[in-house]
Amino acid sequence: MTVILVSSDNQDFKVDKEVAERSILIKNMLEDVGESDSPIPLPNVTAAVLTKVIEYCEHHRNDPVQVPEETDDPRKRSNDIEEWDMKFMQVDHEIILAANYLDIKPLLDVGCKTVANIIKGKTPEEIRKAFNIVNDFTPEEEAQIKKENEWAEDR
Amino acid sequence: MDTNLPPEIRLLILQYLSQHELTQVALVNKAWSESAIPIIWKSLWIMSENQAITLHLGNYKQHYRHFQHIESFHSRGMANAKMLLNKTTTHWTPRLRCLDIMVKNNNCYLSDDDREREVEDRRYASDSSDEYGSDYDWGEHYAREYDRPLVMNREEQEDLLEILRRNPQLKSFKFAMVPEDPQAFLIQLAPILPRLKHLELFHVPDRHRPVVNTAVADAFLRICPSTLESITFGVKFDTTATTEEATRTKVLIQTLIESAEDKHHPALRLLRLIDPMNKGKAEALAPFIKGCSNLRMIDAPAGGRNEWESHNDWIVATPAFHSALEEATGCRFGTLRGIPWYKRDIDDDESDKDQSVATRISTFSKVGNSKGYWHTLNLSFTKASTLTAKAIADTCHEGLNSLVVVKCEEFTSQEIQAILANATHLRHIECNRWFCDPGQPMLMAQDVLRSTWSCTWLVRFNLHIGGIPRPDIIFDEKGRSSAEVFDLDNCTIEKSHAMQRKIYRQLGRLTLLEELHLGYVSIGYAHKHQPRRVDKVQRNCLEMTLESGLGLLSELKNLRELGVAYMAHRIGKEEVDWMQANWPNLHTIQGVLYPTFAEEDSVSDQLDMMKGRGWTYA
Repeated sequence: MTVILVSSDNQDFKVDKEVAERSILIKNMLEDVGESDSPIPLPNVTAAVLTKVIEYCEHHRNDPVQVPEETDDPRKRSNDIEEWDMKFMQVDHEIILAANYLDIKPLLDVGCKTVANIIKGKTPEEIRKAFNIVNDFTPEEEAQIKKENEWAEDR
Repeated sequence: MDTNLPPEIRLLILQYLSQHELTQVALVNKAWSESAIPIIWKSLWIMSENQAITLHLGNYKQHYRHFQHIESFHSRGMANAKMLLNKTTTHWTPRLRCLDIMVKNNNCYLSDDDREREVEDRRYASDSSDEYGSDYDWGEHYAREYDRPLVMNREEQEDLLEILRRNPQLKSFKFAMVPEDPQAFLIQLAPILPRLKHLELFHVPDRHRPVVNTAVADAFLRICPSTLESITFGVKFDTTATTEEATRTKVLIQTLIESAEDKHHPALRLLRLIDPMNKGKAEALAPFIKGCSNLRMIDAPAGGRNEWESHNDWIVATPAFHSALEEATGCRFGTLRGIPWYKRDIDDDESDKDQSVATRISTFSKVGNSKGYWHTLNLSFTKASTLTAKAIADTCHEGLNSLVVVKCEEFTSQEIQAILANATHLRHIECNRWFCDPGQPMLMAQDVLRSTWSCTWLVRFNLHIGGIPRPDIIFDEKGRSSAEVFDLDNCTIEKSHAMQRKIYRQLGRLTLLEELHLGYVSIGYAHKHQPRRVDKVQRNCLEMTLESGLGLLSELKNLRELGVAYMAHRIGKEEVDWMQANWPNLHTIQGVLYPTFAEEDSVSDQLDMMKGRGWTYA
């Protein structure tokens, strides 16, 4: 059984239902609508991004559904990304936004881990460079935050 | 990229970052700062002298806009925790989930009062350990070796209770100090923590000193919150109390029982009553676990063969002990497990021992939905070898906390390096050979350089790192030329120092280290069995000089003990001065006075160098 997804720029994508249902948003929509072949509009996702997302869902179609792991450790690990996923994620952040909107938790996780790995080991200036961020602090504000952080971090 | 990321996604990203990485993110721009700051302050640790001084001088006003984020508070001693009561922070709604008061720091005297108190504490420590006589030498050993301020006075006790009253939503409360009157403290404590899940009282790591007596502990357990899932504290079982004490206890128990109805603890899963399990008497344990039908784990130290046995991956209650417990409590229990200590096989089938240990380690990690993991592994004096080491390296990232490997000759350097590179949760590592053999260091420099250590939570490190060419040592202790060991033409001092700097850099990232032993002195398990006489000196070890890169260890602010025994180190006055300036908590250096290879340093010079620093040294 297949469903038709429509991207924000009006392109149609024909996808196996099983694959589309990796997205909890789509799964819920399909359940609400019941048996119907009307296309599903996804106004927040462009065709380019949707292509990538479908590629991801195809690759992971047989993965077991994730059970949220209960742990006392507030810091999570980001060094456990699968090789395929790592290559896949070398694209851009729009996938993270799409994963969030479409509610595909494993994809969102991989995306966030990838960004976290880019941040790791970098100075604030290097992080700004990596993500094209403009520093909007005054020197005083920056110094203040630095001082506060140092105190909290000084063990 | 950043402008498009909504705050909720920023939060998802930040959960993968360490405290230090978060502080870097907080400086990127306002949006990232807003997301990162609450996480940075969510868990506050006041461990260093500098932080404490800022607090005591009242200079923390600049920070208190962030105090509202604190959910988890950890501090050495009560004095720092007073900020939780400060008037200037009353606008801040308390929402502490976790409060952890550790013993005070050794070298941090903020006032003369503190210094006097420490003297008292020492007296207290020696008095109470006397009661436990010869079967209690571990406690005594630690009381001597790790003596730290313990006792909390009445004023502090009131402050603590006030903090607890203001934070009724507290889920976890750990408290390592001992109140002047622990029994009275318990009575006040019981009714004010309605949602508590984890309770750990009077429990100084490495020091097993019972504090309250059985009857009071029993009464406390009957009225403490029924939400509790884990309880740890020391109970005196076989004490011969004086009549005065007995009367007082009786009155207290009366008060306790009048103050509340009996509560059952269906949620209780872990019970550690530090002393009694050494004796393992069912009838003594029974009053504590009545009604705890979910109890699954009890502290089980290595002893007590009649009560506990090794079964698959666990230490479990023997059938006899199990039914004795059921009979005494009138409860039906599921399997009762001990804290997972790895216990050696009793049968001595050496051929497949390595294989069987390895299988246990790796299969245990895969049981169910991967929730099981080894917390503590002690493989000392076993034939555990390559397969076991590989199994540990493969699974240790899941939560291994403590690894002790003494006299497992087959553990190789590559395997230990693999463990250090994978074990993100590791707190304590100790790998030693039984007899010192400088030709066989546990960890070779070339392996250390291969991958980055991820064990940045390590607190105790006891490993001989060797394999470093040391062209500065031309003769060994017997006057033989060292050239036979190192190709001196190809190994210059510069090359040696470059290699050493790389190793210091790995060590320098372990910023939580409290004990760093690179020489032949064991801590913990192997302490009792440590060979006294060593006639060889490590000649391929770190030089431990500033020249060779010791300065890269400047972030080890928690370091209390440094061990360099039987190392051909070249620690001189410059290094000792540097240590004093950079390691505020250092109080012991082991091995600094053993013969070194610095020709100009005689022992008397070294003694001069150590004098007047307030350290223990040998």
